[in-house]
Amino acid sequence: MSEISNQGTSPSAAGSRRSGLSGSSSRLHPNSGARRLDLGPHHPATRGALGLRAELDGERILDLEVEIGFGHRGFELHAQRLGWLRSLPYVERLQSQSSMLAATAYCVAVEKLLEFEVPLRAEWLRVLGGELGRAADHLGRIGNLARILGAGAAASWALNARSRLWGLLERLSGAPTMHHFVRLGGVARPLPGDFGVACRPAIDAIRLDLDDVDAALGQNRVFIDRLRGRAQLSADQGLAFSVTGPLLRAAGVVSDLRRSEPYSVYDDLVFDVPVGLVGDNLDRYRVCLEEIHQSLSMVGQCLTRLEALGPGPVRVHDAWLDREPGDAAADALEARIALAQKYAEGPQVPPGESVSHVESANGEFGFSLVSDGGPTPRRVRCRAPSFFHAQALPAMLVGGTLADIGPTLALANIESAECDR
Amino acid sequence: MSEPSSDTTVLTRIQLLAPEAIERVSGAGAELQVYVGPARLKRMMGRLLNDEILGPGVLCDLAVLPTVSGPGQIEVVYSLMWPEWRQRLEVRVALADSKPKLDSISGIWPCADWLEREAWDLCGVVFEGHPDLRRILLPEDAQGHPLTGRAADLEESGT
Repeated sequence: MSEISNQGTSPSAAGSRRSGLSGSSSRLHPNSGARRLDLGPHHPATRGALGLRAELDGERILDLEVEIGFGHRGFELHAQRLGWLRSLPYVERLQSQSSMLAATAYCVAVEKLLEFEVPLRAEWLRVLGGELGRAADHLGRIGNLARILGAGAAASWALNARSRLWGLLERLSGAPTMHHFVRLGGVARPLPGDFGVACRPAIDAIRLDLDDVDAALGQNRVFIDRLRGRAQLSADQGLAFSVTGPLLRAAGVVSDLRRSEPYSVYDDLVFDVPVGLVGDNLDRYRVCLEEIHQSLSMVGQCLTRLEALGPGPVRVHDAWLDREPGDAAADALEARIALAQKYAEGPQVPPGESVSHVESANGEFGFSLVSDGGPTPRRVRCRAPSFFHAQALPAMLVGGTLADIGPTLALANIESAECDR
Repeated sequence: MSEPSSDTTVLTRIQLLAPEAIERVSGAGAELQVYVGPARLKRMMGRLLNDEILGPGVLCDLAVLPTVSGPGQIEVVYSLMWPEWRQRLEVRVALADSKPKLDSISGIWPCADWLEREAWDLCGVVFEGHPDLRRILLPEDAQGHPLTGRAADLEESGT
């Protein structure tokens, strides 16, 4: 057997950490005469580190082993130690491109335990920010896909459109990514007064960018040939591997938590759930592209509703802080110190369990929380869609060719921060 | 004829398919929970997956949660969903938290393979009959299972 390795990923570097990649427990056929290729743990098509070991006959993939865990940072244990409030910034870092959706999933679960009624404005603002993030996340996939397939111009248009979205997110929250905008009981601040003026023309410009991208890719014979019939995952396989989000919708399953279990204000929004036909990479590309249009339409609807609602509270009155809004005594130095201490301790969460499910950019994202009434959660469990998608990669790629791996990774959007936690 | 609500349909079907497995039912709607004895879990899961009336089900998640009311106990929670019925159901198995053991269902639901590896890796639950029960998130040479016990206890012991 000849064994080769791509640049920068020597077998020893990968194998020293995990026996899976050193081959001791490999499922690969030892005497098949086939060639074995290590891709990753660092690969231009992945977000973070993901190890793939392919057994190849020519360029045909005979078997594929997926190794995860390179980005494991003990998030769940860390969150259990930090407490209810202080783990929120780490939750956002699970999904770097659409962190508001992750933060929403966590806050919804804690708010269920605290029995907080989130103000309506905050719900609309969460959806507004979340859909901007989803569109940015999908544009990142399409940009990455175009770059891998050598369509440099289309890639730069897609990434340019994404930076327009980041500009809007920055205007809304103060940061282009990792916004720390969604907070327990609501959001950090109200809609900026001039947001609509900046947002509506930007959305129109992004739609034009999308038309340019699709004109360069979607009608392009080379692009279509590289994606059609590749890395197919049927609806049955998708359900068996618990694949969710755009990957499952591309296989023709109308599965979207925003529609099937409407949370927040999704019931009041008009949107379509685009689905594919066969679940190949071309369907994935088309579903993602249409979902961006749907998200942009939802952003417009949220803006209209927020402008009609006018100014008002965007966060639950912090009852656990014992502080009335506008309390003059609260400005005294001692009161401020006491307030800072209370923030550091976080709220007292009553004993119980809660579960949340949110449709993130990658699929079903959620938390299971257990509280014993103490200052920190007893258990934090995160359901991360990328974990399931990484497990389904062999089902998509075995039987295909080596050249399918890059586009499939770009479209599957497996984020190691989320997958490895 | 009015259609019965989906949670009663799914629950009735489960009670028909595996009446002997069910120890207790709690919650309703999206938070329906069925407690199952550890010895009967695998057979029940097999029947649930292959049932023609329920149609294809999804194993959305496998979580190992501590039981707040009963110290020294954990619950292994299988979150199931039937997209056609838009119904969720939690199948829960209560176990003692010292050396917990359970039959693997990775032969029945393919996605249970990695979920069981993770539950073993982080929470120390052994899944008997799993074809390849090795660490998945932690390095192969890691010691112990970090999510067993209380986080505060781990801190005190310096791990």
